[in-house]
Amino acid sequence: MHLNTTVSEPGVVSRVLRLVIPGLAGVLLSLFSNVASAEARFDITEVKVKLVDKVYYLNARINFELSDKVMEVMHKGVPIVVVLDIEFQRSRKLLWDDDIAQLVQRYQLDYHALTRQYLVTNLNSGSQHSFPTLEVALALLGTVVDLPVLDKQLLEEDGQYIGSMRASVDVAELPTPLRLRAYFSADWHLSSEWYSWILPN
Amino acid sequence: MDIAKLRRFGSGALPVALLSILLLSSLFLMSAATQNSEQFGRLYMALLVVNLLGLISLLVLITSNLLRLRRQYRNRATGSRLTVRLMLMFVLLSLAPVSLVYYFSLGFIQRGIDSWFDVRVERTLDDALALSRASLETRSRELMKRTEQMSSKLQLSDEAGLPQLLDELRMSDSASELTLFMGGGHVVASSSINPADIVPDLPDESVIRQVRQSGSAYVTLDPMSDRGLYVRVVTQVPATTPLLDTRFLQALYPISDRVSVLANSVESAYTQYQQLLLLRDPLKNSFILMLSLVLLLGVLMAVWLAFFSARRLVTPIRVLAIGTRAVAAGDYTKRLPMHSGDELGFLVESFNDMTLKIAHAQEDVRNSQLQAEQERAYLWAVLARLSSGVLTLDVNRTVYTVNVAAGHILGVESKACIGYELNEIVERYEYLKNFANAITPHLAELSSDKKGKGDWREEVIFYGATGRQVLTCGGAALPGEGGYVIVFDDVTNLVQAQRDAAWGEVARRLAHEIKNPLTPIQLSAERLRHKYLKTMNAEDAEVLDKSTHTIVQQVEVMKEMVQAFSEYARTPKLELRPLALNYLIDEVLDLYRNNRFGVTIVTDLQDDLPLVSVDSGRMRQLLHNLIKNALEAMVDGEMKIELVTRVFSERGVSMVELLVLDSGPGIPAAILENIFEPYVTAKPKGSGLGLAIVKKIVEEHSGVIWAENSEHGACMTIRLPVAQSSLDDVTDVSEAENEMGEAVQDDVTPFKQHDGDKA
Repeated sequence: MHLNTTVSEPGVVSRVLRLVIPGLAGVLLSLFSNVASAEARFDITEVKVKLVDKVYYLNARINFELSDKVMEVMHKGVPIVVVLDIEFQRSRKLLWDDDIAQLVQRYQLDYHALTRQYLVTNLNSGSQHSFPTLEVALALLGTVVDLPVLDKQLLEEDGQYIGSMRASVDVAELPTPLRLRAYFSADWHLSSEWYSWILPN
Repeated sequence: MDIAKLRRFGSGALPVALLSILLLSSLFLMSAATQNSEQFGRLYMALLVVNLLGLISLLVLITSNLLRLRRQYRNRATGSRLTVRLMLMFVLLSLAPVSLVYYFSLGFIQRGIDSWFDVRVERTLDDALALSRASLETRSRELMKRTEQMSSKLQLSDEAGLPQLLDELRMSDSASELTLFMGGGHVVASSSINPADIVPDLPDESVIRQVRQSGSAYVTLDPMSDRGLYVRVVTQVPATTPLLDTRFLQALYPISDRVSVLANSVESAYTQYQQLLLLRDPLKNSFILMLSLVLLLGVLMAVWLAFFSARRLVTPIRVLAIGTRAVAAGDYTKRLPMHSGDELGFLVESFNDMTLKIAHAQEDVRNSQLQAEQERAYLWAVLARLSSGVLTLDVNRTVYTVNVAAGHILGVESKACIGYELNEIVERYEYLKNFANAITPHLAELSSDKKGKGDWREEVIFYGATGRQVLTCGGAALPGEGGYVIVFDDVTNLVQAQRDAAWGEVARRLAHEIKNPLTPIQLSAERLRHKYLKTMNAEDAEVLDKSTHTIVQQVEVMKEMVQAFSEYARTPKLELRPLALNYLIDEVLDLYRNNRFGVTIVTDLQDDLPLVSVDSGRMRQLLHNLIKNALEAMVDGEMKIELVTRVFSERGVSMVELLVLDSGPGIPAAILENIFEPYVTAKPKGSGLGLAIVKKIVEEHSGVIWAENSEHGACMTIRLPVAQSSLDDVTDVSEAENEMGEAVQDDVTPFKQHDGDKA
């Protein structure tokens, strides 16, 4: 009987539909739209590893280009977490490569509205730097200087080891309402290719 | 079997409850995640996937159920219609409130989230931020001027006094850190309020570049991660000599705690508001998604539960319907499985009780039917073996039952009468008219007298197929639907025997009474003649002689008569012995062969005649009597007696038949009926006992005799049973007996048509 009443009143139905359809459609559209924004991408341009006192140090240069969407969100006060995944594998001929070590460096990029400063926080160490422009902040973020990554003693003498690195935005750190959309949106799929190199002995 | 188990499990209540709990808990977690809970935030996507999977599995379940229901509905399976109805009802009942709640919740979400935002709040926050900035900028400019002054002081200082000067300047200007450094980042001197800070926090290269290019100081507010807000001023310290590199001075001034806290508060409020603005639509969407998921899950679960409960509810009804159909088809052995202890279970139990009772009742009916049939068969067997005829008629006087004996007595085919009215039978067998006439008034009387007290009994005489028959009839009305039963016995032979016995008694007495005075009469007459004949004159003597002669002669005649009488009455003990009848006949005929009587005796005797069990003396007397009777019957013309013996077989019973034929005038029709009774004779002379004695002898030997007229004269036919010893020789004796048995059950016995068979 209630249902009948509902059906006989088109205004209510259309109101419900007006409420529901855009919501659901928005969710679904954002879920499945995969329009890639051309310019936004991460690029690892240079990696250098040097061995000092039996410890490998990583120097790298990463080009971060944020999509408009990410920048907009960041300027609204949502911190963006950038992750550097560094892995070391022993290459084997017959078997798959053997994982030796994994390293995750997490950086948080913030916009401080009061001071109009961009804050870069190393979440691993807690150190924070502020920058007047985004370019400078990203440049600092994209410069890895003498990051100790691996102890030589973990490696065997005659093995061949491969290091790989990737930089990406961690979508999981976003606030929940944004996350669902971010999972399926190309705007948020900011990630570099895996960059691999052979570890020098 | 496993599939069946799985199915039973799948249709049970447990999986429904499990799935419901699973989905509900997943929904709960997801709702927690949506509300930005740290704990479940990370599970959000997994939970979403779980819920979607739950939705899909529910959809699959419902679709398969729907398809199954549709198939059942199309096949008009029992209970499918009710299931559809119940299901629709459940779905409607659950959809209506859920839809209402959904509709209003959507509104609340929209309005609730929208109510967080307000243009005035936004502008106020903007203003607050601008105010904070303005205030901080004023302070910054002030500090910049100070730093520039410091810079000019430092310009004049020599290398050695720099650290001390820096310390002094820092103290006087209440800066927290002063650093003098080269353009390449090389620190010349540094002073910090915190002695632990060995490495100064230098500005970025781009800042130095900017300062160098513009020539003016660089001022910025820096949020330090753990130390609050600082004002950073970087300014050039111009070189005194062109040889020296340009140096830079960085001063860090802390903002007072109070201002810092206020500014931070404004900042965080502003940021939060900005975040909220940004998240406004996504938040709405995620709430709507959540709500829609809840709605869908709720509705689908309700639909599934509707299926489930409808099926549960319908199962006993379906079982009942199937059971009812089975009962309608006559299967009372059907027992329905019990499902529940509620009213439906009670219904099923009652149904089972009912079918059980019906089955018992049916069994009873069948038993009683069987019993009735057995009784009927028993009655029939008794009726068939009754020597009395039993005839039942219904109220319309249609023959209902006739036993074999009745058929025999009335000379009708008993089976052919059943179902015919009495009148129709009389039309078919005209001689039954007397019988019908005799009983009709009684039937009328019985039908008018409903009380049924009027049993009647009457002797009926009619001329049936085998001649005059005397029947004693009795009748009564049948109980129940009405109709009549008529019982009758053929007492013809009984009456005959009684008459014969009466005659024998009379003869014996007469012989006794008459014989006694005859000898004294004869002796007296002879004495009179002997004594007085000589003394009388010739005339008197002649009279006396004649008279006494007449007396003596007549007494002699009387004596002979009495002798014959007594012979008739005499019943000597028979000495039965197996004898060849042909031999006896030859022996007796020898006496008549001398042709002294002027008669031709012809014989036609069958050679292999079986023996008969007879008393030879009595049998000789019989033959003598028959031949004498034939001789006396022929008065003139060609006198010829023919004796024929042969085996007579009828329905498996063999008898020896003797025919005595004469060429006389035959027996007058008037006395043909009673020719074997004493003193019934057509001849002028003769005792009238000859044939009566013949008949008596035949009956003594269990035979039959009858007289008839052939085309030449009279014909006496005698049939005697074959002797037992002779019967034993017959190979097919058992067969004969069997046939005889059939003959009894059937209609006519070989004796039936003739006199003497029951005497």
